[in-house]
Amino acid sequence: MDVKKIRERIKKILLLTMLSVGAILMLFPFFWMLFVAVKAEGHGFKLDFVMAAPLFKNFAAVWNNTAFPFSRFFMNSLFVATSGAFMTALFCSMGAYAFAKKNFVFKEVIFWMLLSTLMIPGMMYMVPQFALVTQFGWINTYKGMIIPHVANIFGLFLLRQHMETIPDALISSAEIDGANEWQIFRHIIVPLSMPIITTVFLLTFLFQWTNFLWQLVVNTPDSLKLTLPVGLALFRGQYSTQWTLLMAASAFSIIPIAVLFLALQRFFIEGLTAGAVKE
Amino acid sequence: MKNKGDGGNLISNNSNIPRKNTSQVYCFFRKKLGFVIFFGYLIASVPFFACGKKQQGEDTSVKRIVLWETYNNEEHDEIVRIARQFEKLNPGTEISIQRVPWGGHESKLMTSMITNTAPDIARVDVAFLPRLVISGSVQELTQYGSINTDDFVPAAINSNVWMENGVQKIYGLPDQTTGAALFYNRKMFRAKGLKVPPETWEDFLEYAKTLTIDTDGDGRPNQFGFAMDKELWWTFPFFNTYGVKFLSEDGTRCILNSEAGIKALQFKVDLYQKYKVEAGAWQSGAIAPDTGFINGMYAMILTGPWNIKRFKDVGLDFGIALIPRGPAGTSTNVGGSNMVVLKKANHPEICFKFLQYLTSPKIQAQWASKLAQIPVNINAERNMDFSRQPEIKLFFEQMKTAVARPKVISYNGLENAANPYLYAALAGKKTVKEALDTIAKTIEEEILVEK
Amino acid sequence: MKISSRNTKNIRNNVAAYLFLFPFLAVFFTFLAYPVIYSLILSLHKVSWSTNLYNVFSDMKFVGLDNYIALLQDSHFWWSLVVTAYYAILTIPFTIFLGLILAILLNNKLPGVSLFRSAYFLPSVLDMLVVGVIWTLLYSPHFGILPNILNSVGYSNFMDNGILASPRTALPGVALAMVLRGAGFGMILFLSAIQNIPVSVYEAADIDGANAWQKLIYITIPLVKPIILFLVIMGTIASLNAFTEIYAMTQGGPYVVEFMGKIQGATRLSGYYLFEKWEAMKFGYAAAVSYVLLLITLVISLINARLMGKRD
Repeated sequence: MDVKKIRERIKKILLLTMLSVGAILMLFPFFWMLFVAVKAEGHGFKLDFVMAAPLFKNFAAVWNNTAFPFSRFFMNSLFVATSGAFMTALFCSMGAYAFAKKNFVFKEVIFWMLLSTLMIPGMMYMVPQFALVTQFGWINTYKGMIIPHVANIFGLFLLRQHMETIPDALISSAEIDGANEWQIFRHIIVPLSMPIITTVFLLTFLFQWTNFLWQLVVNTPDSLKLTLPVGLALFRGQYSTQWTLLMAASAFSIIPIAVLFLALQRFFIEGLTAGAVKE
Repeated sequence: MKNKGDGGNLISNNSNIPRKNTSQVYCFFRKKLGFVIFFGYLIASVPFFACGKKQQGEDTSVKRIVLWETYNNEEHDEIVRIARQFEKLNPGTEISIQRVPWGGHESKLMTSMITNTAPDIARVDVAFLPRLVISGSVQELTQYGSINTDDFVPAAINSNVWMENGVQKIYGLPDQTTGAALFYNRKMFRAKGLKVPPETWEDFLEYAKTLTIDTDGDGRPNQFGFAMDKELWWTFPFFNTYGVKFLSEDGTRCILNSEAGIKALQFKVDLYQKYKVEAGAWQSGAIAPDTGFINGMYAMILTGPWNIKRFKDVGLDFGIALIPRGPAGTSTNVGGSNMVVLKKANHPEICFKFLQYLTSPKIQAQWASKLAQIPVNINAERNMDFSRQPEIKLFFEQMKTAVARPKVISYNGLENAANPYLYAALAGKKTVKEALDTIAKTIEEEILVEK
Repeated sequence: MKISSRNTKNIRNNVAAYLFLFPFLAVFFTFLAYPVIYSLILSLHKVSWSTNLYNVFSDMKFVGLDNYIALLQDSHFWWSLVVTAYYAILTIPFTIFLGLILAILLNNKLPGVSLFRSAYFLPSVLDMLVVGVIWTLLYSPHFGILPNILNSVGYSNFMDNGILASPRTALPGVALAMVLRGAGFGMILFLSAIQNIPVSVYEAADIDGANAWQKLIYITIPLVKPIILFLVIMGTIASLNAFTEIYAMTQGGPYVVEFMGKIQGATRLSGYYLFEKWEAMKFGYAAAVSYVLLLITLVISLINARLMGKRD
């Protein structure tokens, strides 16, 4: 073996060790949560190895508790996140298409309005949105949880920027072929913008999945529509002294999404990567 | 579907279009697999939504009332049991018990009034009552039947009574009355040969010093003699045992920064700063006193009767004692909660009936014995067997010395004004005198004048 | 003829554009634009003690500019702005830096690269509240694993206070948890951009004798600039909205910092401060706070718009 090859190999081993250490560090909280979740009551804080007997006792206790139906909360979260992300992606791409390829009255005015609201802290909307949702009778409904957040201005900007790069010639030739507006949108614009649409979908999915405050506000405590973060906060209030149970509950809220992510990671990561490099 | 082909042709005919050049079949399959799993999840979720809807079918012949409570697990199970007993005695009624986290229950309740999703009965902190009454959010109860205030523990019922034009009005019934006492870990006491709990603050300090030990030999204690909270409510036991007055007689000035007040707070601060027998449990991100007590880190804490059953359930060997005596003897703080009937409640007469049932001697005896708590109805005592519940007897004893909280429109305002400075004093950032002077000033400027 | 056909085309275009815009604009005007105006009205009112709780919004007392005047003198508000800026400085550069480093490392041909990619990205999908709770456990004084590890290597400063109770480390502690949670997201974006840089560019640099550092500065970073910009905007929005991590970890404490003559919470970000006002039902005051924040963010947005405009 020549020197160059050995150097290459050493470099590789070095890199691998660095990456492994980094991965362990980054996932450490996650592993620690699992570790505490299988410890015996009263040992949650101690740096020892006194385990619960049987090992998954805490998990069973959390799953069987009557006040917090975790499976139900999980399904609610999934439904809200998916439909919210779908609607956002659809509405944003439709709006972005209009901005990118159409001239219409008040275009500049509306664009300026959108731009100026881009960075308003979400908290500002809370009181008025809450008042509106109340007036619409949307308390304790999926509508109330999803719709106020589907106008994602940032997503619209991302999509508009991409759609502007689609050649106009494509659209006009489709028009000559007799395609109507919706067909042009559906069969030309959408397929060509799919990576960005996926990015918007995923960003909204993550946002909705972890959205805590709004779901807490639009649901009464007896609501059957509560999502996982809210459920977990309620659980935390009740069990704040039993960290082993709390960590088991946390695991319940994290593991399904981790599994889902690992199953879909190719899809996930491809969407993000493809979306990001486009300019 | 003809146009779909057209669109496709357009794209493939135009070579300018950027396309991804990965193996498409492979990619497509991978993506599709992802989709299948994803929608599998979604489809699996359908039955859940379906069963949610089913429960909404309503039987109009049943009179249903909704009660929001903020109890812990053990108390929750008991109130549900009481509701079932009531339903059996009163056919045609249904009491739906719903739990709200204690933290933030006030804003949650106010929010629910705005949205018209408020319950019929709510359990609220005693300090929240003035606002509910002034804003006309709760119903006066004597219009539904008579209430004899002499049946109740005075400290508990008084927060519900208003005198309006010489007429006594009652806006709620107490469901719980609490105060703090000293809880200690018997096992740790035995290990150090301590047989009886401390009686004075001087004893207490000696005990705490003895109980603060380093068990793993790293030169730092990992068992602490004492652990405490920073909040005003948790500081009242210190103030009260030192005989500190909060407001001047006419209620216009805050006189917390008196000599006695400084001494009391100084002692609390010294436990952490000077003697280092307190674990710093009051700090941001620290392990709370009751959590550390359950986990065997803290030997003594101040807490209330609501923790007794929980501690017992995990098999903790603990004792309860009176709060150590200061210059003004032993004393404690007063906490508690009331049940109120909200303005827009359905079937207020049934709500009232249930509250009467809940506070009746028999039910109070049942509640107090099971949960080792203080009954709010003084007639409950004859139905109780104290030999099996020595803890309650102690709390009865402790509550006799309790000093009521200052009566202001917003007790939370007092907490908000005081807590940052109590924290700063404990952390040594401010001297005790500076902290108390500022607290008194802030309270005078912000709370005592507010309308 | 020609003019009228252009007119019909124009009308058609307008109709089509508004049809496409309709769903977005409907939601936008109802739930985003209207609240901004409504907030202005709210900010001139006050919920008083006797306000009918069943009808708060129509029973508020008109107070004119009182809320704004009080706000200008509110040291807690100004402090929350300072802390928010500090939080943004702590989180944004480090998230970007860590993401970029990871992406460069993972750009090498190594066994198990996709496994690492997943491992690093996984924390981004985890619930923020849960992550916050776990880190609180890791940071806790006397018993948390982190202070204990630091103690075993001879650094015992955190044993008594933990990480979150010291004003110097509380916010960095929160930021660290959030940086580690968010870096994987940046990593994925950077990775894709780096993979899109033609190898020939680097080869040419090799021929010119550029070292790894020079390649990073002169080739990689300029080419991933759009991603950096994207992450800066996302990070700014996240800092201005930061609430959950504070709620889960410190609740605004520790209260030991002195600023404008008042004791301040070391981690009381503006998002959390706003929540406290909302929770106390000070709707008018909360609206005034958010209006001042709006003015500030408007300035930031305009700068961003400039930057984004330059990119085109």
